[in-house]
Amino acid sequence: MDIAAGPSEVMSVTGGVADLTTRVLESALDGAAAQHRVAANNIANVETPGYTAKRVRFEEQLRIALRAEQGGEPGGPVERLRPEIASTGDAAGPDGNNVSVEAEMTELGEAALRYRTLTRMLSRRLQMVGTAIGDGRGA
Amino acid sequence: MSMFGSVRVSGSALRAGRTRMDVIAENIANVETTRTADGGPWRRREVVLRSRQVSDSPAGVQCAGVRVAAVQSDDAPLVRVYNPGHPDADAEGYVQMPNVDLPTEMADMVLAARAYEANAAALRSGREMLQTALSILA
Repeated sequence: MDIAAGPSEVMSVTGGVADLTTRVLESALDGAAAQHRVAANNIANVETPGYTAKRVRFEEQLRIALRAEQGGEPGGPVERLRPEIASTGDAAGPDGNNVSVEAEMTELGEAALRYRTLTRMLSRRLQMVGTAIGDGRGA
Repeated sequence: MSMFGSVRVSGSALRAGRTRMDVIAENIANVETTRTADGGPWRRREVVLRSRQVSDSPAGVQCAGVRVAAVQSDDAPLVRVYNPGHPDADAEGYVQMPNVDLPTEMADMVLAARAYEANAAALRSGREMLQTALSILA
């Protein structure tokens, strides 16, 4: 590593393991996993009388939490964020069940794709830190 | 916890779907059964599905899928068929036949098979996500 890079720069790079970007990615991964889980649960109950489909509300909350974030300190709004569940409110059929397999499959695909994207971003992020640690020779 | 949850949820549905398919197959197999171990003709049986609690506790979103709450008999009246040559015919020549309706069973079977497919696809998707998560380390 270049001698000119003082202790402060080194700190900022290694501190990157838990910086705001990483925490946002982790939080979004949690949200995507919850979205997938809830969609899978809806599909599991496609034939259960009286079951009402659920949705994870997350993205909007993440946006709000990001806006409320100040300085990106650990334990901030993003880190405290938890996905919440709400009903879809779709009209139910004669047996009181309102699950639409088409909608749930779309939801599943979307969640899986988002999860994959976020994983790749997080992986790159960690690789960058690894590169810094490995004296620029790669992770 | 979190990621395995999705796979387990789909697994519970596959298990319930299998039971449902077994019960439908049993009904179809016994569509002409006039004498069972309990005496009397076969009565149609039906699976009762119940959803398990979904919650968003501070520990994260919890889902537990579906379960078979009961397999219960259908109370619909048995069918009386005139067949004097039948060994179980009564004095007037009528036989009590099971209350199984083949078209209903067939429709249920298609629904059960499609639901099973959807859950298998969900399980596949969950498994792929799990593999993706492991790739963070790669």
